[in-house]
Amino acid sequence: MTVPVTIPYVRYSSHGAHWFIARALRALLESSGLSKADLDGLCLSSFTLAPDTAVGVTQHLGLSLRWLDHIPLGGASAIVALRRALRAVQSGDAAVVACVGADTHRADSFRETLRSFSQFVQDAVYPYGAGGPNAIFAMLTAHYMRTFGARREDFGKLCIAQRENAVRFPHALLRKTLTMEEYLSARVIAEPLRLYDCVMPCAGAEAFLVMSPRRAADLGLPFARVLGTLERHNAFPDDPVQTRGGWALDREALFAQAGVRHGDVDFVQTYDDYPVMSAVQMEDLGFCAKGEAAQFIREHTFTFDGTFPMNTSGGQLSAGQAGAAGGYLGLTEAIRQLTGTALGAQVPQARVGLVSGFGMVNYDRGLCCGAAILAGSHA
Amino acid sequence: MRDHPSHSDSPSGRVPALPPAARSPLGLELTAAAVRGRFELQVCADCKAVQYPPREACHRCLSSRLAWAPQPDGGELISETTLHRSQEEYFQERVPWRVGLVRLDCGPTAIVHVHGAVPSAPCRVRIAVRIDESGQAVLVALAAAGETA
Repeated sequence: MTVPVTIPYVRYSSHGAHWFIARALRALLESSGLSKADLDGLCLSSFTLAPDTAVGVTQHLGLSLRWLDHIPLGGASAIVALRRALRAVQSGDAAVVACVGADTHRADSFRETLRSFSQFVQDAVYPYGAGGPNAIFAMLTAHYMRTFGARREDFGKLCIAQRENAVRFPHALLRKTLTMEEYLSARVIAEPLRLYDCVMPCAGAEAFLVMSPRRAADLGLPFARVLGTLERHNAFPDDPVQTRGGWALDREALFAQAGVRHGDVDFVQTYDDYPVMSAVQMEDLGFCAKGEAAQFIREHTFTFDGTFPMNTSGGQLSAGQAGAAGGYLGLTEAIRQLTGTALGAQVPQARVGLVSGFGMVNYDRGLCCGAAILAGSHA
Repeated sequence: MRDHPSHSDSPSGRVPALPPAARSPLGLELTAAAVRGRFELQVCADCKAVQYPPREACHRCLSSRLAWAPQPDGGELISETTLHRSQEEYFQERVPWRVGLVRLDCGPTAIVHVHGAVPSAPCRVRIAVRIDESGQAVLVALAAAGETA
C-alpha cells in the first residue's frame, strides 16, 4: 500500500462524486509518478455516484482498465477494497490498483441516501422517524451503557483525545479543542447521543495505491505492507441487539495471519462513526474483554503520544465523514504513520498499526466488519 | 406556531407533512393485515421461523413458503432513544419522539414507536399495529398490563 491521498473535505459541495474521484486519481498519479496508462485496476466506493457505477467512471474519466471493482459496503469498503486489490495484484490480474472512496454532499443528498438505503430501512426503520444511523446507534449506545456500565464521560474521553489529534491534522473539519463540559452539554441529537457523538457528513475523498513491494521500491515510493486482514458480514444474526461485530469471530485468525501480538500494535484506527463502536472494536479486536472497554478507556490515553494511540488524524468524529471515504480515513492515516509521513502528529516509532472498518446499517445494526494489520516496509 | 402544525386545514395553505409512506410490496402486506385489525407477520411453512422485517424467503432455512399469520403481541423493550432531530419534517415537528427496539416474543427484533406511558427500557411491552397518517402500518409499543410509567 502506498501513496495515501486525501482530497480536503468540505461541508457541502456542488460538484458530483466524479469530481472528487478525478481529483483523487490525479493526486495518486502525481504523487507516484505513474501515468494514467500505468493504472490498470480501480476499486471504487461511493454512495453518491448514482445513477453511475464504477464502469461509468471509466468512461467519464477516460480510464482503460483490465480490472474493476465497485464495493458498496459503506464504512467497511476500504478494508474490503484493500483485500480485493491485494488478491488482484498477487494473482497478476492487475499491477497497480487505485482504491478510492469518494463522495459529494449536497443539501439533500444525505436524506436521499438514507430514505432509500435498503428495503428493510424503507419498510421498518424510516417510517419511525429513525432515518439514518443516529437513532439506531443511540439505542445501541443506551443498551451498551446500561449493560456494561459505561458512562458518557468514557465516550467523551475518546472524542476529546481524537480532537487533540485533529488539532494537528490539517484536513480535519473540526480542529478546535473539545472540553468534557462542551462534550457533555452539547445539544441532544438522539438520547443519549449528543452533537459530538455524531459524525459530520461532508464531501471529500481518500485513496491509495496497491502494488507489489518491488514495484513500489522501483518507483522509490515509501509503502506499508499488509500483514493480515479479516472481513465478516452479518455476524451473530441472532443477537437481539448489537453488542459485538464480526471482528470477535475472526480476530484470532487475523493476528495469526499477521504474525503479531496485541502488544506489537503501535496504533489503532477504529471506525468511529459513534464512540460506542470504538469501544466495541477495542473489545472485539481483543485489546480488552467484552464489556471492559470503559475500564480500558479509563486506564489509557488515546492521543498520538498516549498509551493507546487511536484515530491519530482525529477520526471521523473530528475529520468529518465524507461518505464512503470515511472507511478510508484510517487506512490512509495508517500508511502515513507507518511511512513516517504523517500530515499531523506522528506516533513515535510506529511500526505496526491496526485499522478497522464497519458499515451498512441495513436494518437494526451494522453488518460489515473488516480489519487489517499493517507494518512499515522495514518492520 | 400552532400546537399541531400537521392538521390539514392549515390557514397558510401549507401542505401538512406526513410520515414516510413508501413501502416495498412486501411491506404493504403488513398494512393489509393491519387494516383488518390484525398484527400479522410472515411465518415459514417449513421451519416455522417468524420473519421481520418482511422478506422474500426465510432467513433461517431459505424456504420461499412464507405465509402471513397472526402473532402474539408481547415483547421486551430492549433499548430506546428519544429523537430530538429527524431527517423527516413530520417528525421534526413532533420531537422529542420516543423510538425503541423490541424483541418480539415470536422471535424477531422490531423498531417501534414507544407510547408515552411505557416505562424506561428494559421492560415488557404490548405491540399494537396502527395505521399512521400516511395510511401505512406501524408498530407501537404500549405499556404491558401492570407496567406503566
